[in-house]
Amino acid sequence: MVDAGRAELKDGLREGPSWIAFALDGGVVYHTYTVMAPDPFVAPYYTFLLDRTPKGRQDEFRAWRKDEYEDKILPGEEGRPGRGAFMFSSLSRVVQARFEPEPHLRRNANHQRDKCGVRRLFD
Amino acid sequence: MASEHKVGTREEWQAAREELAKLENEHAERNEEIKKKRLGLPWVPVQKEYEFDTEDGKRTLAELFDGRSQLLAYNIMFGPDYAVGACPGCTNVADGLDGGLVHLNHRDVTLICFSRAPIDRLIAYKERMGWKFPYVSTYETDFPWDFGLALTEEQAAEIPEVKEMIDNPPAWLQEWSTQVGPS
Repeated sequence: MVDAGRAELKDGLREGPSWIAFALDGGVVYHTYTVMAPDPFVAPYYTFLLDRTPKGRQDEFRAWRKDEYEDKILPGEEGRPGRGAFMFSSLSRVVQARFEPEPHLRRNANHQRDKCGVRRLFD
Repeated sequence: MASEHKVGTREEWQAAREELAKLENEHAERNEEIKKKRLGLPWVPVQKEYEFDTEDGKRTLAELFDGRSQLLAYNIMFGPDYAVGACPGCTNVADGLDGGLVHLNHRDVTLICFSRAPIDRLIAYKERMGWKFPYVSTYETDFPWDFGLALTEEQAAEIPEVKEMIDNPPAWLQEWSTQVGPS
């Protein structure tokens, strides 16, 4: 059921914010690293700065794009309930824990190893 | 309004700060171990050919390195049917990247971002956010699925926790969907 005013939930639920690294050596590309939220590394740089402020990082119900802030929106206003700094943390954990390669990809041993490497991070 | 926080003398602060420093030092030492292990991970050859849409036309994965030997990429959640734009949380992460771009480039690292939406949408969003880093589309490639950055609809449908969240979306998820969907 798709609400006309929303993106399909199932689309957002299928992805997690991630960093991924590759090396290029002798003309060959190698996958070297992946990390996905809820790893604390996958967070905006300013949140690491907030960790060193007197009041620290606050739980925020939602994130704001830089051109969406309104003057009236200050910490504690608007009744924004806290549920963790990065809203996709719990979901990403589920997605990563449950991820299995598609059957047609299982033939690719590299892929399997990539997945295992990622999974171990969150076990 | 008076602060509800504990107030102390300079001496009390110094003692507590030194106590905290012990933990911070332990943490730093542990992090050195973690960094070593991370650098020790095996490199896995990528045997599949990928071709991405970039701001400068089609590029292979090797070409995304742009002459350097290391590629670091942030995958911004921006699916093809996010009508408004990328995930705001991911957008906040991307906002912090441009300052490091020149420094990474001078250390043999090319920094880019990936998203699943078509390149035209990415270019428009990049302009809105004023970003400088190269933005690459994984649209119509197997890349996000192959590297576990995203699940196919079929994979997601098989996960009870995801199905439950779609059937009974929590408030934060409903809020999020309005942020990326049509306004």
